[in-house]
Amino acid sequence: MDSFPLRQKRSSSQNLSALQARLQPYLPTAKYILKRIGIYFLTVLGAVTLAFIFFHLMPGDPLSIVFSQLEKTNLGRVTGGAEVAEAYKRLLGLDQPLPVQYLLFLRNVLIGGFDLGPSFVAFPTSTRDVIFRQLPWTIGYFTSAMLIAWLIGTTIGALLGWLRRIGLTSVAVGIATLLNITPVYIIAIAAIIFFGYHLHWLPTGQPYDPGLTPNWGDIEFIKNVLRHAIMPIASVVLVWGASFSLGMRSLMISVLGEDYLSYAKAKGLTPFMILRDYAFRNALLPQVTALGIALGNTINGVLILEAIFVVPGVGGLFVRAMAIHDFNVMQGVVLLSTVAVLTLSLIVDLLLPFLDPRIRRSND
Amino acid sequence: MTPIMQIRDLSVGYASRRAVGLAVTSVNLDVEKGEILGVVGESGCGKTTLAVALLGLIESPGVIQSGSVQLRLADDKLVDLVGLAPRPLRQIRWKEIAYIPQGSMSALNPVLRVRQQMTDTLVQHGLSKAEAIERARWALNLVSLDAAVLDKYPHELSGGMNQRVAIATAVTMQPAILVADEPTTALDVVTQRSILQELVKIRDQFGTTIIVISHDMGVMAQVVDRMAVMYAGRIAELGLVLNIFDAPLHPYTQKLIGSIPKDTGQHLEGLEGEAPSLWAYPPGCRFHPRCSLATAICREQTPELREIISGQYAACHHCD
Amino acid sequence: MFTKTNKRRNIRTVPLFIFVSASLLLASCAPVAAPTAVEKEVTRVVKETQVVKETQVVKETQVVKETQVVTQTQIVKLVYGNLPRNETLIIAGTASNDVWDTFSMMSGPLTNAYSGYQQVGIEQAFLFAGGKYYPYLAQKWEYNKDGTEMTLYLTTNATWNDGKPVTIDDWTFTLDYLHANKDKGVPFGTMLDTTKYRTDGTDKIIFSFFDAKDPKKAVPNWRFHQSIASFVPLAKHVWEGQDPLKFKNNPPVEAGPYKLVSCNADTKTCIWQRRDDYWKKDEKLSPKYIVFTRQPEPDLLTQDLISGNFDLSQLNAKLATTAVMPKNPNISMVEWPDPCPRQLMFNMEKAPLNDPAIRHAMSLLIDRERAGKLDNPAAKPGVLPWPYQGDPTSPFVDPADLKNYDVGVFDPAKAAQVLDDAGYKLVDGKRVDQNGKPLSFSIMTFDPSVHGAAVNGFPQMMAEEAAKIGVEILPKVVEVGVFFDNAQKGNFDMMYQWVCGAPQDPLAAYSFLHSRYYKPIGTATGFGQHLGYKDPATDALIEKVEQGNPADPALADTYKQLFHTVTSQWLYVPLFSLYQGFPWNNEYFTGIKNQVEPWYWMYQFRGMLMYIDPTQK
Ligand SMILES: Nc1ncnc2c1ncn2[C@@H]1O[C@H](COP(=O)(O)OP(=O)(O)O)[C@@H](O)[C@H]1O
Ligand code: SF4
Ligand SMILES: [Mg+2]
Repeated sequence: MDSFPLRQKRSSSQNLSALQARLQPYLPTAKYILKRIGIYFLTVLGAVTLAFIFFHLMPGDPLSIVFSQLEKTNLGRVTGGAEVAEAYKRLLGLDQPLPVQYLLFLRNVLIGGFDLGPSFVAFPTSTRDVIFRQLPWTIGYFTSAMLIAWLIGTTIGALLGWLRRIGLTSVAVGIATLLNITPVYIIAIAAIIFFGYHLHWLPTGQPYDPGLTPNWGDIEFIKNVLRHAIMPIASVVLVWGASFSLGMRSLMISVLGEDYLSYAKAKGLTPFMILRDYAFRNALLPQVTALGIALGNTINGVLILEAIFVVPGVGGLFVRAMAIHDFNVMQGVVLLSTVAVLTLSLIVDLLLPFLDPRIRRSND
Repeated sequence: MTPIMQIRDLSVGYASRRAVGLAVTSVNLDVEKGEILGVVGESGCGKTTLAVALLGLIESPGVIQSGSVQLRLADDKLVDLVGLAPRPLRQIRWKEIAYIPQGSMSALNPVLRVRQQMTDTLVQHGLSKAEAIERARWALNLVSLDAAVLDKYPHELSGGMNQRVAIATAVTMQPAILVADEPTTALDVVTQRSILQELVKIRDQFGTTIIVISHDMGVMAQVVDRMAVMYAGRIAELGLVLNIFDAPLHPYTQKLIGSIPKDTGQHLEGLEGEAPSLWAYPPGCRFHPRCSLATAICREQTPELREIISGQYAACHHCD
Repeated sequence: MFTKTNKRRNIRTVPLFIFVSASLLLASCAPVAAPTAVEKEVTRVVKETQVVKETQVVKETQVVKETQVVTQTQIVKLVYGNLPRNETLIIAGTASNDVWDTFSMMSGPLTNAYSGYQQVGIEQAFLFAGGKYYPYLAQKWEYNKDGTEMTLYLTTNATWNDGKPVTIDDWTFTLDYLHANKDKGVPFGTMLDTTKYRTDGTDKIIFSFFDAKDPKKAVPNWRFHQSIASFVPLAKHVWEGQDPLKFKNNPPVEAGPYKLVSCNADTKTCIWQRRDDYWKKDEKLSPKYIVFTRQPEPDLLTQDLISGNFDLSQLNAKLATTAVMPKNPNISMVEWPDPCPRQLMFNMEKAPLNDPAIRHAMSLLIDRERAGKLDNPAAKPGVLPWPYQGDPTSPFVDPADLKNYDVGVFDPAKAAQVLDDAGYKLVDGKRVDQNGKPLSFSIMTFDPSVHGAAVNGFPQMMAEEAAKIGVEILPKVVEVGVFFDNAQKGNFDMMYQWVCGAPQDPLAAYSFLHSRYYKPIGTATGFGQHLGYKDPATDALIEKVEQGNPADPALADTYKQLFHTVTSQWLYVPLFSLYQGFPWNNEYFTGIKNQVEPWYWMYQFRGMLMYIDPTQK
């Protein structure tokens, strides 16, 4: 605390010292925030480096794999696979020695604004464009689904925890447990078969009717997109909502055993006030962290759902990139999701001091 | 004098899968208006359970097996806190009977400011926000705390300050009875003394009846008018504190007093053995396995709490 | 916290779980709401074909009873917006890349193979299907006497889909354009390094072939027509001045029969419409619209096929026959033989795999029948390194070789005999070589998700058989990347491979054995063979075939000698030839035949289009 520059000017100005006195309570917070941000940038750098190392140490030269496989199947499309592979290697910068590639990679990613070079899945479109074209879909479907799941799950979980002694809640807990252990793709497939193929209530896949031309200004088009989004979002909400509600329930139950809860009761507060100000508020803190982690993992979590619902998104892109060993896109997606996880946990870290006053002091 | 609280045949237990173990067994006790009553005993003997029962706060797995806790309200009406409906119970709490919890550090919600924790009850009981804050300032002032404490979180205060906040919170509604559970445990000696003085001050100023619970005989000696000695869920001895210290009747009380460190530096006469668990009380007098005076009758018959000398009661077959 | 009610709660959840899962199950089994339709039995002649039987012509009539679902009003369903279902062929496939706005084949394997562009948008010089060349943008070719020149006769009435004619200028522009961009890896980019072309004012292009090192030296190239067949000329007025890797050609200007209506990256759906002005008037093009779309996961794809939502898709044969066909009588399988039969390769530089007897024994241990059927009941034991397994009439094979060298034979007892004769004795139940070292080999394969279950099934079966005769075989499953890496470094004992030889000209089944591709173990090379095989006599045979004319009957003898070389020394041995098949929906378009080329292989799709007819008018 003492090293903060404000301190030195203290004697020279009365005003400043008053200012400093006012700032004093916030100094630990400021220090905490600076420290978190510093750690954040270091981890991002580490993640970028790890992504590079990982994908460049993967066995097999991706280009020659693709081209020699193609040459072998003798499709007549590629003449002289070796030369073509060389041409593409030059184009993708893979002919440089590894350290040079690494430095270029660092420069392009960190300074060049996530420039990962041309993609392979959508050659010659840049990796960044390819990923950012898919990202809104992923966010639209799964981040929003996760938020809905969190809101619903947390509310239900809080109630289940609060009413833990009422026998009927065990039914709800049983259902939630069942949903929680069910893989989301089973729910998704069951939902598609039932509501899509049997009842014909909802479309079975695709982001919107394939006959439509996308037009985001058209309310009919947006309605169509929303109709198609019901099932993907609902299956995430069902499974993740169950998981969030179970988590919240056990947090609630542990909070309900705390001394300050019986003290609050002794004070004669109404059950509603206790629920709101004492139980829910306190249980919410770890639950916010859980949301941050779940959101950060969206990209990893949605892979299978995108395939099942045949909707665009980063997960499907990653699968396609894997299929043809597209280094650049794979790196990009992995980096993006790592950075997403890191950023969200940074946001949670930065938010927590405002939610939980203890953190401002502790953790220096 | 009419007692402000009459505890009759109160038994409180904890339910396990198979049985209910009684942490408080057939306790009879009258609390006189304006007195400071001490409840003392080894840790685990049921003091907190008793205190919680007095507030009507027993919750699963705790169960009230039998008995009543009659509270005399200002208009001389008696209400039984046992089995009272939640709503009237809520109204009686804090207004009539307030509580200073054991370990105020963990009893205060870590994420709420002191202001909110002190005033939410008051608002609940019908005060306006401004009145409530005024009352809170007054109460803090009473326990020698600065009003700035209102804007602090519990973890920003020291243990002693937290305890004072708890006391201040308890007096905000000027209740008739105050139950203080181990108010000085985990505090240093100097702070202990000042906290106890605050309690005495409150009684002296407002005539508040105070029940002080502690395992520490020293605390009893300092502030208490009358004290009840508990052993294994039962009251072993009851009487004026001066008399008991002078001439303890019950062998357990004698040992307790004997184990207080004295400045003379003489050898401590410690308590041997362990207090029984509530799942396996010995038959007859629960103290007999540790009692040097125990005879056959002690092993078979439970001694009743009897008035041995005027105003001094004991539950022992051999203390006449 | 542990109240008495706790125990009860635990018990109660069990029936609850059962109840919930049972009701879920029941719900999913609920009968499909029947559409308002009348089922009526109609009898109609389905097939009436003339079949040449021996010498006389008989008329074969087959009467089949069919149940047809006729909706009362017979309204044609509209799909993909406003396309009438009965005029729309819907094809569902997977695409491993993400190109939905670019229509060009300049980026080789990076081109989207499932947008329909290569299937119905473009036009090639010839279509090679079922062993025949069909004329499209070129009519025929002629070689000169010594094979150093080939004349290509172009089609004169072809038009681009923007109405402009396809001219010889487009051809010569394309040849030069591709050559100028050869360092970008475009197809045919290096062709003009060994080929010159000239025109003579008519609709002919004359290609002449020369030695790469000595341009003055003419050399024969009897296989030039094979590669020029897949040549796709570019529209000069569209492509001139464009960077081949960046130009999107959107909407695509091509000479093929269908024109792009829309192509959507979100839904991965491209819609093509038949050209009214298509220049090849006799071409059968039944579907007015063709839709290429993205197929869902197999579980859901089966539902789509049962509902008749797709006419063709890439559902595997097993699921199609077990899960789809019993529920939708309109579905039948369209099958074709594996164009690249699977082979087992040896690292012949490693003792004792350098001993032909060992390789012979290995071949006898392979239960090809059983292994192949892991994937498809129609799989056949491999006999030849190229498709049409067991064709007795192949002029390139001496049937005696098949018999003498146990090609495709599974006989573990004989394997033991072969090893005994070659001096690999059994010692304590283990077979050892001359130095007393036990025989132990690994077989390298890769992840079955890429090539099917048989890939890893056969080494397992071989290992079991080998153990019985005292030989240790270690199946080694590796990542695809590792597989290619090891293959390129000769880092294996035996490995799974596939060889794609054309039955009319099986050169590709042998050329990789030439010593010019030989690389010693450990040296990494991108392309070539790493089998440790070098033999001047074989080199000479290969060169003779390379320079010869495959259509020349005299060359058949050389082919036979090559076949003899491979079989008699077991240089590599055939595994199995997988029959592949996909479900076809006959509800709207029917007449599909099993064929030689797989439907989805780009332009080969056109071969299939030639067969199909609409079912309703
Ligand atoms: N929630 C509970 N469940 C079961 N047993 C309890 C519970 N709370 C207290 N007990 C038991 O009741 C007895 C009395 O406890 P307590 O009233 O806290 O004693 P004290 O306050 O005198 O230390 C102890 O033996 C303790 O183990
Ligand atoms: S009753 Fe007997 S055992 Fe109990 S305290 Fe008295 S003498 Fe001791
Ligand atoms: Mg206690």
